[in-house]
Amino acid sequence: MEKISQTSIKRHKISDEEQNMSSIDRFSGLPDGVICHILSFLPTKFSVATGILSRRWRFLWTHVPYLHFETKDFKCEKHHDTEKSFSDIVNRVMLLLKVQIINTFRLYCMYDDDEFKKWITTAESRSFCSEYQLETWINAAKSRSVQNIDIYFDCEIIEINLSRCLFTCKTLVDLKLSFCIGIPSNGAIFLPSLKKLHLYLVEYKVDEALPHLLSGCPVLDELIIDGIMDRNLGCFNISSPTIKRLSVYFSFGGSEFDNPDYRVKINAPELRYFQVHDCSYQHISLSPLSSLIEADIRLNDFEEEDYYYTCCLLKFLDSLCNVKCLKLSGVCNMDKVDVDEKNWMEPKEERRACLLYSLKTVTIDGFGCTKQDFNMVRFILRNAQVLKRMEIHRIGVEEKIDVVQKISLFHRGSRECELAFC
Amino acid sequence: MVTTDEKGPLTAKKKSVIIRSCDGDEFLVSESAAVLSTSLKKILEEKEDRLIHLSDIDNKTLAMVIAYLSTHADDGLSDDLKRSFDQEFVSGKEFDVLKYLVLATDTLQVTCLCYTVAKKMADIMKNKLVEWVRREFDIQNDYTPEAEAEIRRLDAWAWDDRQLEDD
Repeated sequence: MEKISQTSIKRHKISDEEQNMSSIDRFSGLPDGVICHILSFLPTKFSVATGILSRRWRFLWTHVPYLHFETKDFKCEKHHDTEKSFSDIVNRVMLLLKVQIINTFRLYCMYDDDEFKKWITTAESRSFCSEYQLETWINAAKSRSVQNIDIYFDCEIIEINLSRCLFTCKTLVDLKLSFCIGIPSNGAIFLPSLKKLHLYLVEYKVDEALPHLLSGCPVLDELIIDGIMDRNLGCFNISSPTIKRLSVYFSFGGSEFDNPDYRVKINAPELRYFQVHDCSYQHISLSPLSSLIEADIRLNDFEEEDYYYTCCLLKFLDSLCNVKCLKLSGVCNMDKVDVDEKNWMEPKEERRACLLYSLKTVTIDGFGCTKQDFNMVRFILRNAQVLKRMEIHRIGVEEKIDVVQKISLFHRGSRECELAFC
Repeated sequence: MVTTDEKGPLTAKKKSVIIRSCDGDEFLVSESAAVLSTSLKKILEEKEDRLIHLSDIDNKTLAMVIAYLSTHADDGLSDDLKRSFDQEFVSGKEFDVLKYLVLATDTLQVTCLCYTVAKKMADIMKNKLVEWVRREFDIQNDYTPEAEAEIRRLDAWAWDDRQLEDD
């Protein structure tokens, strides 16, 4: 019989001294490693505060490999009381840290109230965080093989360029940048371990910045582009030979760009999952996505002519040639009753999207009950040869019975196809 | 998974393991569930023994861990269902119960559950008073009043009205 006990496989002893000390607590059975694991879910400020609990806990937090600093945790009054600035505190924590490997370095510089905003724009807040400080912290994290970096700068109040050293971090696996500025458009980019890149409302300044960044990520697996700050870009080029998951959200309904002829180009041959929200079809062009399995598309409200709209949409759908699972939402503006102006136009036979020969499931979210909606559903049902299931979500309560009756009678190209109205 | 199983040396047919808690209760667990614990997996790889005695885990805690392992070994359940099971699993549990769970999952190296439980404990600990944490973790304050005051002065930034504030 094999015996297994906590003492035999205790993996987290820190020192004999602390081990002896721990006998005071009934919870001495809980190894330091487990306590550090629990503390890793809390802001660094909280784990430092646990130093007050007992002598065993005094510097336990220095073994937590997760650093999570938020400016909102350091209220301005406190700074005056203690004469310690945010950067003094981050410096102290990073100097005392005993871990050899930093799992996560998270730095959130944001304000959550007007008072703080007022304070932060004054001169005395300079020591709050500077480019010099940021560079020091990122280098310190780099030297401890940091794996995840998550930086959030409220750029309305803090204009700090990201340090270039961030973009040559060999150990980095996951990088999230929010509201940041200073993505380099030249110079060295080398992120050989980076698997996931999340760019939330980042400012790129020039067209070359994003392609340059992506060119230095040889094993990137997932890319999320959640809005952009710039309005003057001409071409937004998302190109990566390795990404398998891509989500692109344009938050202002396709009107981000001042340039009316802007293009969004996507070249990602290995893509398996593709999500695009609020982008106009007439501006987006896709290189063939032959590996794509699942797509989640949210259309924009179109102001273009019907014919042009249909052409763009078909060209777009043509690129999704092998998709098996398709979700379409926001098919048209639900508030509009002006159905005759915006008709779904059926493609001619030769232009019929080859998508329809591979599609297995379709989800339509937000069925607006317009003529266009019905025509589109009719088209997909009639032509999708191997469709297994179509789900239609969010139908207006009053129209529901009518919609169900109407759609159920549509001819189905696939005998196996089932319909669900949710 | 299926092909690996067919070729694998252990799973020519569905095997079970008996796990005994420190208070003597025995649980019959399918091997596919048991191996989700890295520690149990190692033991099963090294020994042919089908009876494993866990000298530090009580029957109540062990029953919970086994319920978790069995659910996660069930191929018939979707990932979504398993995720919601995880959330249900920790919700409403007393802090004391979670302490023994986190200890057991650390010992058995059930990484996923250990993560979920530790996170839940952290959520509960947030915004709690120093005395609450001392009580729940059974921590005896062994600072002299002077030493405690000194720490409070040095790391004053770490305390405010929301976190670990004293009564």
